[in-house]
Amino acid sequence: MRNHKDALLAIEGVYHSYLPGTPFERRSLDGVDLSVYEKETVGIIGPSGSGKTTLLFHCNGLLRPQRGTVRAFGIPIGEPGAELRDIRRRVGCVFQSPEDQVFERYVGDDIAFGPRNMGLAVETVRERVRGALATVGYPFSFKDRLTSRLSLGEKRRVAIAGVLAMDPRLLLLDEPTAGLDPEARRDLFEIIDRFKRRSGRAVLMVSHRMEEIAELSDRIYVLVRGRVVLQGTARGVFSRPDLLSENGLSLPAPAQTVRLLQERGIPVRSGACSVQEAADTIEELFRDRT
Amino acid sequence: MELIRIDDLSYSYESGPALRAGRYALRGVDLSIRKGQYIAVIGANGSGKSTLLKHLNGLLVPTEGEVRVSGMSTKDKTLLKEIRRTVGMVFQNPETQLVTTLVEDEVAFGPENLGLEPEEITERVEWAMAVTGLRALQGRPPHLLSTGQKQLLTVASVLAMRPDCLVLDEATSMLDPASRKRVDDTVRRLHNDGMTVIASTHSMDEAAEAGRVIVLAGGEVAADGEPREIFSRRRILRELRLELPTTVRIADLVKNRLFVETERLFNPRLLASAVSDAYRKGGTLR
Repeated sequence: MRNHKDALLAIEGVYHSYLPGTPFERRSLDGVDLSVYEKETVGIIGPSGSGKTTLLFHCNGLLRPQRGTVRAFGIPIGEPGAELRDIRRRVGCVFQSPEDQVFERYVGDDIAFGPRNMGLAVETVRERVRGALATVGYPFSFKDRLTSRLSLGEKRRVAIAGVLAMDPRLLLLDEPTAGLDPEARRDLFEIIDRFKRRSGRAVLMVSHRMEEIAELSDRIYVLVRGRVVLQGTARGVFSRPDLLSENGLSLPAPAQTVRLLQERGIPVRSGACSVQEAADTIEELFRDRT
Repeated sequence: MELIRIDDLSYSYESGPALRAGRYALRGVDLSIRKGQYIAVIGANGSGKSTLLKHLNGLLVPTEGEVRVSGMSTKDKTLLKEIRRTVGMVFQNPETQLVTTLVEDEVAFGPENLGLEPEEITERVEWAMAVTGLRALQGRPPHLLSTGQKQLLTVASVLAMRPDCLVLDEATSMLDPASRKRVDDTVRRLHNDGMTVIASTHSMDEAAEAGRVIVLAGGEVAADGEPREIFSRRRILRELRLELPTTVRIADLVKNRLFVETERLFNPRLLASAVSDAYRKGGTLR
């Protein structure tokens, strides 16, 4: 068991209501506990309106907990005197449609915006831009491209490079691949995976795409009506189809196939999360019989 | 019956022939869309999907060529109102489509602008809210809804116009599975009642469920046919960097165990039944 103190992000008993004290009051988070450790990708899934985005907003101080505590890198967010600026430097956010935030004329200036604002020296900024571009798979010369001429996939990568240039330790992603074509999606998977492998880094991701959550996450939290109803490894979580479908969540196609086989009385192992795992499961089935 | 006819459509976002040279978002597109079809439009980012869809109700007008909706050319400005009543559009991001402060006002917005009788408006709003399952949200302000609820609301407000054809531009890509399913089910039901549906998507799993798949690449139609036909053309798909449906990819890895062409197995149900057939028959043929 990992020591809770080592968590990069530790959320305990967080409650949140929108418009408290009005007729529109709606509880969004209802006592959530969640932690993220270094070198892991944690996925959050849940039906629409379950509080996923609200929870992400708590992770870098965009929202302060109305009750409970949120600690990022040991700093209690929301307590008087907490240095939100320090937290935001370490927690990089890529929220829905990040390409909308690309506003500079040139790619390089857009990526340099954050580091420049941090007051870094010109040379350091340059290195940050170079490094961020490399991480998202572009040569340094890409900095001279016009942002207005980029495709959606390119723009999204530039937006992510802008976040990476701040050298964050924890990356928050909300629906990072929505609208991307399969190739751009695969590229982004690699960027995410490369990021979390570095020491002291981690990723917390919200996605509706069960396939990508299954493939990328080391651990998954299932959020329903503001509560964590299930957590564990991808295989573990996707071995609970009943609980998921009760809450309007689907299985990724590989797990669904295996589940349908079981319903037909075919003796296969549960919880295949990826194409390869499903193929292995089917192979095992035939091999075991012969 | 033909609902939409596209003849030699080319479109450039640039103006002036010099600027346009070599900069076309669509190039020589010919398509005929019959009433009642369910069509998926797929293609990489920048392949021209959104540009094509925006031509279907005159949001964009051809640089060259022509688009006709029920015989009405989108170039004729006097017909635009009628064209937009025939073809309703739902975009990826519902935020861009919501204007009012109450859910039911949002749905009534279109019909009110058509100048309909109050009873007719009420009836349409009731119907659209029922079809999309939004009744429970009556009285709520749209900006406080979840993304999925907002998208259902845009679908409801488009439906209240009673269009013959629903165009969905990656309309479910931002939605959670349950909301996606609700939108899909709603659209599927409308389609079964005769609605023509044209939906762009990046998900081959979704495209597999359509009756016809149109593949765009570099602004041109690269392939057009039934899902099964499209999925059998692996080389083209690979060249276009498109992905096969998840279950076809699984099937390809175990094809020696199966007795059917793997491109037919484009959803979990089909793959599971092929695997269980093969298992029950015993042994392997190939």
